[in-house]
Amino acid sequence: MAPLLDVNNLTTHFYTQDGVVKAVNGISYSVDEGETVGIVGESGSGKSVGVMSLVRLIPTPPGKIVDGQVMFNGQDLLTLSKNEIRAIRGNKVAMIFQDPMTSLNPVLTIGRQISEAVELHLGMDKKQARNRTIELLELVGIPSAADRIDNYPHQFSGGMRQRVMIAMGLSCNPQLLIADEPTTALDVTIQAQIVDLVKRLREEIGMAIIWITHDLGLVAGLAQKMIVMYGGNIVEQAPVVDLYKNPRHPYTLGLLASLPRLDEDRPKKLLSIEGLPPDLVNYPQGCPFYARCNYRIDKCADTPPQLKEVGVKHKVACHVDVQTAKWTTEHPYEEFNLM
Amino acid sequence: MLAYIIRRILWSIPVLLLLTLTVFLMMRSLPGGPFDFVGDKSLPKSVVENLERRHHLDWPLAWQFSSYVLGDGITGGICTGLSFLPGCELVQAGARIGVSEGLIFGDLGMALKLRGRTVNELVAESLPISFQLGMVSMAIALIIGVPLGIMSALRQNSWVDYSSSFIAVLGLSIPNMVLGPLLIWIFPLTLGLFAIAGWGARPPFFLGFIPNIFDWEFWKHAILPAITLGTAFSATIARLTRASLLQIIREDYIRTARAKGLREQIVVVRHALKNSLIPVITVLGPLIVAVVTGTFVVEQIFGIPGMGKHFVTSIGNRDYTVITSVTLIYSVLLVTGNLMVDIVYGWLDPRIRYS
Ligand SMILES: Nc1ncnc2c1ncn2[C@@H]1O[C@H](COP(=O)(O)OP(=O)(O)O)[C@@H](O)[C@H]1O
Ligand SMILES: [Mg+2]
Repeated sequence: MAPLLDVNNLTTHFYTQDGVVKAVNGISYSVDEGETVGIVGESGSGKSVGVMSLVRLIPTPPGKIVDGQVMFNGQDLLTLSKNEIRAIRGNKVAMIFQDPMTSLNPVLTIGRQISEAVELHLGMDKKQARNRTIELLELVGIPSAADRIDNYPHQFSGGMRQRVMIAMGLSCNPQLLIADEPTTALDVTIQAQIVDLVKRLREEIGMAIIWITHDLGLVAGLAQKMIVMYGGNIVEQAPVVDLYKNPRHPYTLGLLASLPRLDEDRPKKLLSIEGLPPDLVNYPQGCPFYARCNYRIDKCADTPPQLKEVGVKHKVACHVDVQTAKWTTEHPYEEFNLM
Repeated sequence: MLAYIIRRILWSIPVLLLLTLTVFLMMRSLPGGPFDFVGDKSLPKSVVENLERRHHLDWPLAWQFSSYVLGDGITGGICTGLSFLPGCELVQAGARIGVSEGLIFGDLGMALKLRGRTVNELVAESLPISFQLGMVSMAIALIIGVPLGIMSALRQNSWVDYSSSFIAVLGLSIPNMVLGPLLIWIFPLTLGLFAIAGWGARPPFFLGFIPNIFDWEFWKHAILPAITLGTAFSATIARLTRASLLQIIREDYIRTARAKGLREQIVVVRHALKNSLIPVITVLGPLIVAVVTGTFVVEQIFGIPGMGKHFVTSIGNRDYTVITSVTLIYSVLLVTGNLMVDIVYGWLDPRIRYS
């Protein structure tokens, strides 16, 4: 069966005064119906631009999708007309964003903001849309929804606002929900509640999810498949268990090493990956992770590694096999800067 | 909300009173007086003294102020009760003349130079006209400014944007003294359109100040001075609207609205416009000040019998009562204008709740 979403060589650049920002550089992946895919990577690695390109929400100019295909239900979203893509946004493909404080319009009631999508895509009249909105608010666990529908965003806490955002995202029964760091701005306890809520709703509605985060620990219990992004590229992609048990990219190793683990007697010192992400304007000629890689070899400096299969559904873009190779340098970034 | 409005009004009373006192004292500290004339027009000393006595100008300042604010009745009464207070003999002698019933009873006093006329009469004649001019100018400023700002924001860096910035800069940099005569030269003199001077609306006005807006006579006289006065403000408003909308359009919730699949027009009108007008509304308060003060020049150019004339001439004439009262009325207008701006502000932005 064809996947619900099939992304092929998606490439998005920003044409700015400082040069061309190569934010997303030919990423390919697929999402099956009902599947949850986690995308991780440090900030600036192109996660948001990558998913916003799917429904063409990139500000143009300066942004431009310069290459690729986004097959959704057999249609290439990148070739649809403006009206056609609008009919999909908020309908079959919904998005929720990082900061629930700024993602809701402060001068419109939350009821209005949810029902406008329902009226638009499901063709409901005002009254039906209002009833549906109350149902949705109840569904996402807003207490006394019927009373709160006419409240403004500032009358809700951060967690409640993110619930409102989720209600909005699910209002038209999407086939795909894109959640761009939906918990990053929230307290840890609230984060867990939101994750649980999404899990429950996924069971009820059965939509596929792309869940972006820079917190590997958070998606572990949620996703079936993981994608690791670095410098606008996918550097590793694997079923979730595989990725945690058997990481194959030095960057993934670094991400996992920087995660506190409960299954170790004594927590080892938290590591963070030394150095800065690559300059997206003067993009490195070879591997984008070269500057920060403990395993780098000469080849990495000038030949960009391609994503290749290393296990069942497990792909990695690296010239080195980290399972057998030894570190070639202790402090890659310092040495890189001296080079 | 009502409590807030009432509190704001109560708070403004001491401010207005202080302001009145300041103007009162400042005017009287200027050299010369209302009855000093130069050359052959000068009056005999005895006549001046009589006139001054007639208007209580021989009283100590404190009593003069008391007469202006509380009226001759109350002031005389105080002096009868507390006759040991300094200056009370003068007050008791003069209070019987009765020039003012007092500000607190709505009496703005007698004009000193326009013999036999009360300030209330002057204000009743001229304030509605200035007010009408001010309102039409504000309306023009908004009607031109807001759409111009929106267009240039939505077509940022296009020819629409550039030409509207050009118009905005032009509008800001041409002084009223140039624009007014220029418009007179173009329209009435060359094209024979509109009136050269004067004011078309005649009392009685609806609610005391609203003219019949279906009367061509009104517009014929109002349109050119209002354009003169409104252009610069429309430029300010356009620039502000543009900047504000450009900032709002980058907000996260605009992205949310687009992610919902809404049409771009709906995104702008429903999600961006209301937010972007909030800063515009905020400057309307100070702008009202500017419109009010701006009317002096424009009223002069177009020969409009508004209040600006009284404001300017009364300073030169040392007409103490007129200048104090006119200033007070302008201040009341400003306080009211700012209060209305705050109310609109609260209505636009639900996060603001006055309590
Ligand atoms: N509107 C824009 N103009 C220029 N550069 C942009 C714009 N939006 C994003 N970028 C750049 O694209 C890169 C990827 O950003 P993003 O996808 O937001 O990263 P993240 O992985 O943190 O979500 C960043 O380097 C960012 O600077
Ligand atoms: Mg992001």
